[in-house]
Parts: sequence; structure tokens; C-alpha cells
Amino acid sequence: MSIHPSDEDLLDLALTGDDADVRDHAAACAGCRARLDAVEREQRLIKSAFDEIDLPSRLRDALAPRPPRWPWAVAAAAVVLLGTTILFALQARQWKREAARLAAAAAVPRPASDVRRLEPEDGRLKLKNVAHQMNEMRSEGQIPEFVQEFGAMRAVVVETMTYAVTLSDEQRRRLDEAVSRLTDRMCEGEPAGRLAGDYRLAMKEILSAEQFVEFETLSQEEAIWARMDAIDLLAGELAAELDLRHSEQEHLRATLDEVYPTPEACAPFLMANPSDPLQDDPKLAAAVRRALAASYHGKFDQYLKELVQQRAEIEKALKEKK
Amino acid sequence: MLATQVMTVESIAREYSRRVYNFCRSILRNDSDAEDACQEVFLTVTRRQDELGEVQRMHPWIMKVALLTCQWVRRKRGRLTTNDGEADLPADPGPPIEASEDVGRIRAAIGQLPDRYRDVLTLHYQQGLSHEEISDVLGLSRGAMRVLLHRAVAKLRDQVKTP
Repeated sequence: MSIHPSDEDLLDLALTGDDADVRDHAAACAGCRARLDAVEREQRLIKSAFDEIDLPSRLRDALAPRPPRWPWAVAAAAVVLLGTTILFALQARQWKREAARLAAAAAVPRPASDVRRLEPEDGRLKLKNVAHQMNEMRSEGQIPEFVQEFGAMRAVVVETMTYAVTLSDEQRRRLDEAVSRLTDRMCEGEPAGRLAGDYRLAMKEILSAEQFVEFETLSQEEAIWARMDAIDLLAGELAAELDLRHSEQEHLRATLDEVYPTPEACAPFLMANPSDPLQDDPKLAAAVRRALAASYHGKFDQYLKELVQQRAEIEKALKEKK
Repeated sequence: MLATQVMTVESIAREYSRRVYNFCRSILRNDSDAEDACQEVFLTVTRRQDELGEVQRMHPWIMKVALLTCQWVRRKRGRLTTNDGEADLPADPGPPIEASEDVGRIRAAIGQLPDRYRDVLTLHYQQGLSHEEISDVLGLSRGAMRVLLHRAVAKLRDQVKTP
């Protein structure tokens, strides 16, 4: 190369290292050598701007391998936790009035330290893990294990509850008892709506008025998050089951954003699994089917059929356990 | 890294979690979102562990998972940027950034770039992927990726120069 390389040429050499002409020219031309040095210094400077830090300890813990039984218990806990938090939102308007009345009746300033938002992200991540585990459990047909672990969720629910509000030892004990009773009843097949109502009554008894207000607020937030997570899970599951291309998955996700039940309305469904609304709401299933290209319809219908079968097996197994 | 033998999810997490976290942090510019995304990446790896035997090069593969996850988080958080900044680029990238320039200023300028530019710069400078690997991750031809990388550096130079 006899003419001086442009800035573009020098940048290209620095980025790719594969332009021999430019390199040869720079070796013979002091001016261009200086320009190339400047570009290479710049490249090191830009690289240094991408600083790297160690993993936060919380994330390191979350990614660490866990004992094999633990996820089962957490997965089971999600059934109660998702359902109850969503159902809390279902009756939120009524509770909000009542909570406000209770808070006013308490007539004490609400100290900031009394009610804490203790690591809400932890709780959220845990819930996401739980939901993923639930999905896998179903798709892999591990129903006997699910049933076996179903009653062992109490401690995990109580632990997860403490992400929402600070509990005294006495409150923890009472919550532990209440959740234990509820999970037993759930194992016996009681309807989700009734359990959630009783759960709410138990919480109202156990929590102070201030805690109850805070808990209600968090429950509403969680309901919104739970819906978003449910949509993501369902879109991911459908993408995997139907082998969708990325663009089709995006289209499907957008459709679900529009048609998936609202946090309030999807409460009974989230009690079990994000894919349940597909079985219980024909309009939703039809909208999802429409969003898919015709070539996927057969696979989708087969997927729905398997969902129905899986749920029937779970219900049967729970009845047998009872 | 060439996956000469099938890696387990645990060994992938051990080897790549720091890289994935820092990638997500650069792309999303929010520590909390990056933690969330990083965990999501390894949940995806866990869900797809049956496919790991088919993965030839783990680093670009997991970066592709990480990038898709970050794009999902961006959508979820409503933080998609437009590509408005891509149209008003000069034909020539101009002179390089001065060596005396403050790294913090460069970092801030990277944060202001359109998403596509920040993605390609992060894959190149932070992750050190080859051009072929970056092309695979971004789903672009080699030529298109090269143009994107040039434009990203040019835009960065422009941003740093702008007072």
C-alpha cells in the first residue's frame, strides 16, 4: 500500500489484525505507525472500560448446586405461595379498605423499621426457580415424587414469607402452624379459593395492622410479577415443545402478553401451573393457536392433550394419597 | 473453548458464571437485572442440558443464551433503545480516542450507545470472542458484523468527543 491508510483502515487492522498491506505500510511510515499506535492504545483503553467484578455472594449462592430434595420442597411451596399471593390480589380492593381501616384504628405512627422489604429480589428469584421446577416436574412426569414431597413445603413457605415482612418468633410459630394446616388441606384436594381465603384470615390474625398493609402491597406487586413470569415460562415451554423459531417465539410472547389472564383473573390457574389457563380458558387456547403458524397446530393440539392428561394424573395421585 | 467432552451444568456454571454475570451487567447496566438475567441463563442451561453434547464451542453458545436473556429483560423492563443513533454516523470513524481520556467517561459513553452497538462491543472487548463467534451470537454475516463493530466504535468515538 503506497498511499496512507485511512482512519477506517487503521481501525479495521486494530479490530481484525488481518490487513497485511496496512501493517506493512505502517511499518515503513513513521506517521502511520504513530497513528496505528494511537488506535491500539485506544483499543486497550476501551477494553479497560469493560470492567469485570466478582459474582455477588447472593448470586453465587443461587447458582451453587443444591441438595437434590430441596428443589422439590420449594417447588411444592410455590403452589401455595403463588396461589395465595395472587389470590390476595384477587380480593385486594376489599382488603385494602379493610387494611386502611385497621391501620387507622391502630393509630400509631408506622416506624420504617417495623416493616421491611427484605430482599424482595431473593423471593422473586426463588419463585422463578420454583416455577421452572414445577414446569419440569410436569413435563418429566415426576408425579409420584411431587406427591411425596407435597406435604413437606411448610418450612419453605414460612421462610419465603419472611422475605415479605419481619416476623417475631411467635408469629413465625403461628404462621408455621397455619401453613401446615393449609398444606395438609391442599393435599386433601380442597379448592384453592377456599384455602386462600383461610390463609388470608390466618395472616390477618397473625400480622399486626402495619404488617398486614405491607403484606398486601407486596402481594399485589407479586401478583404482577407472577403473571409476567408465568407468561415467560409458558412461552418458553411452548417454544421448546413446538420447536419454535426465535421470531415465532417473540410473536407468541407478545400474544400471551395481551391475552393471558390478568393477575386477578388467573389466580386459580396459577395455583397449579402457568400452562393451566390453556386448558381452562378456551379463548386463550384459541388465541395462542391463532398466533402460531398453521404448521404448528398439530403439535399444539397434541401438547394441549398431554397437559390435560398430566393434570388428570396429578389429581388422581393426590386423591390416592388422601 | 472447544467442548471436547460434554460439560455438566455445574461445570459450566463454575467456569462461565462470572463472565455471564459481567456480560449481563454491561448489557443491562443494572446490577439487580444482571443478577436476575444471569440466573435465568443458567436455568436455561439446566433446561437444555440434553443439548449440551451438541454444543461445539461453549463460550459463544452461552453468550448467545445470555444475549437473548438480556434482550428479554430489556423488553420486560421496557428499556429497549431505538436505533436512532445509527443513522447519523460520519462515513469515516475519525481519530481514535485520546489515551488521556478518562475511562469513566468512556464507560458512560458506552452506556449511552444504542443496544446493538453495546452488544457487539461487549462481545468483542469484554468477552474477547472472535469475529466468527460474534457473528454467530448476533446471527449476522461476517460482513454485517464487521460493519456493525466499526460503526459501534465510530459512534463511541463520537460520543466521547461530544461534551
